[in-house]
Amino acid sequence: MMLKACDTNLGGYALYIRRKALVIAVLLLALVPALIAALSLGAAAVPIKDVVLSLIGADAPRRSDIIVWSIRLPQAVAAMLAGAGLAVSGAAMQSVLRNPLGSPFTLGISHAAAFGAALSVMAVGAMEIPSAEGGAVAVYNPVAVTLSAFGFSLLAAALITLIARVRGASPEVMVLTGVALGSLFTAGTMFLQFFADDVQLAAMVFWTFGDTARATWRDIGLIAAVTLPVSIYFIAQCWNYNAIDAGDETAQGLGVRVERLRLVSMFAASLLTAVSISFLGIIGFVGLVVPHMVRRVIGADHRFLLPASLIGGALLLLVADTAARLVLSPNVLPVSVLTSFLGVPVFLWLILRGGRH
Amino acid sequence: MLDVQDIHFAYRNRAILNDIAFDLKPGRILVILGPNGVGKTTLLKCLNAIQKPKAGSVLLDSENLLSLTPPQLAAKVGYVAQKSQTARLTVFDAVLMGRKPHMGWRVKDHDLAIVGETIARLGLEALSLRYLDELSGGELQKVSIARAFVQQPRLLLLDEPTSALDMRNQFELLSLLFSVVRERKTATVVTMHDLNTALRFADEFLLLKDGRVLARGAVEEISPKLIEATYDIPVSIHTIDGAPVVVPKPTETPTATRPTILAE
Repeated sequence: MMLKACDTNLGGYALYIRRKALVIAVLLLALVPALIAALSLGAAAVPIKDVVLSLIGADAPRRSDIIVWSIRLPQAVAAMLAGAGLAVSGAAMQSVLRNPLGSPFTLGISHAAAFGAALSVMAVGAMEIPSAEGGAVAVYNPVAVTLSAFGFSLLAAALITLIARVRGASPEVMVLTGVALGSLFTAGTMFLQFFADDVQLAAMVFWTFGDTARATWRDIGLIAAVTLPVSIYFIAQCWNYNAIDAGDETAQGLGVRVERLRLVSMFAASLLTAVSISFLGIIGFVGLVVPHMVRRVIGADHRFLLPASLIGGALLLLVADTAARLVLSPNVLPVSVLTSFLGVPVFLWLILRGGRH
Repeated sequence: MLDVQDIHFAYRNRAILNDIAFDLKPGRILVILGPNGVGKTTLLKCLNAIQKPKAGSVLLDSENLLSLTPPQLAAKVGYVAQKSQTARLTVFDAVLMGRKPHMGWRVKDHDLAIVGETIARLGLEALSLRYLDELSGGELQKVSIARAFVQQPRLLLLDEPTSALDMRNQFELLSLLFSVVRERKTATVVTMHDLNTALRFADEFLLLKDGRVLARGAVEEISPKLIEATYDIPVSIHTIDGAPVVVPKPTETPTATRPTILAE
């Protein structure tokens, strides 16, 4: 009788696991139509047939080839990479910081990046002459701004890591340090903005609008070079994150080096965020909301939560990016405006609906 | 065979534990008793290096546990913390986590079978696909113990394992613990507040007082005098239906005033 109970146990569990795998498979499949739509829709529509032909390298009209490969595909790939990276970082952060508000933004990383960008606009970028074809976008020197934003976000991450090492890597220490640094960098940015002239100010504000259209193939390569290994690291740690969720001591009892995991994960997530926001600007809310949405559907088992956040983040940002191109067509909104507009109501709805846990 | 030698532990220069030494044979249960804040939990954590003792060694089959890496240690020592947190994780997954020290990234059928069997044995089948954050405190405690069982340790450390369980569950769980420990020859160290339960299920006791071992021995040898010396309250020990029962005997009995309050 004992054996029978045990068998139904295992059968039920296998079914339950298969259901989670199914959710991930569905998310993955949903990326295909989302990608085709992203490549097809926009101010200049490309028929779906031409999109597919162009993608597989078959004989497509030259106009479609150019639109797909030079304009829409880099933007779509950047959106997917950034969405995936931000969401998976958020999921990892929420686990190690044991805080539902955990995301690299809670730790002041994006504030630091914004400060870095503003500083480089003041120091170097603003000297550039606005070019005729680029308009406001070319007011600053993109390479200097990106490097400076990246440098300062890493500095913020390093500071938090350092303080956490000295004071013990507890979630409280890390969150409080992050919030404090965030407000320090915000103050710094405001200080710079106060002394900036109109052109510089415009460049600073413009930079903060996260926009996937900025990415070149080279940028995408760099973002991917960070996103891939960091995501693999996160997924490899899935059991350790599960253990940490049960409490630090329980995790230690299961052989997890809790402090080290917390520091490395924090740094890896910051790095991943830093690389996408330095190239694309600040895209808020994806890192916070996607893991929560995914958790509602498939639970907090990190074996599934992390891959699903990765794919869910890619999907969400890709769809939001396409929508941002369409809502006020022919005007194009930066995707960051839309993620918050979409994200907040969805998030509030989830909170209200899920009142009983 | 567990052999604990001269454990010293200090928290920022404040000495908590001094000269703690004891040994324990496989398949035996030792209960650590002592007043609140004496360092029972700390001692337990020193045994599996969650807290690093200033000096001393913990030998399990002549291997010093304190010099092992955390994963190596986890394969030998199971630890059930006093408190655990909940997450949106199913009971089955939470128990499966106990196999972590023995498995790689992939879960094998063997691991699943152990988990399934343990869940059935603890009577958690009906809950196996429920999320932890939907469980009661007592059910959660059972899950933590199930996790330690599937870890199949040679040394099992339990910190107040039954504090949230009702009488029946407490009795059943401790009986099960007793038989599992005997069957697998696991040396088991447990902290407990309830003296009656402790004396009934443990084989040996260790009394802690002011950071030192006041006395240790087989539970049959415990005396009212030792308990008074530990807890500063006079007691008598009776045997009722074969079970030892400790009855506190305060010098002034407060019971006399109670009826008057009720009468008001």
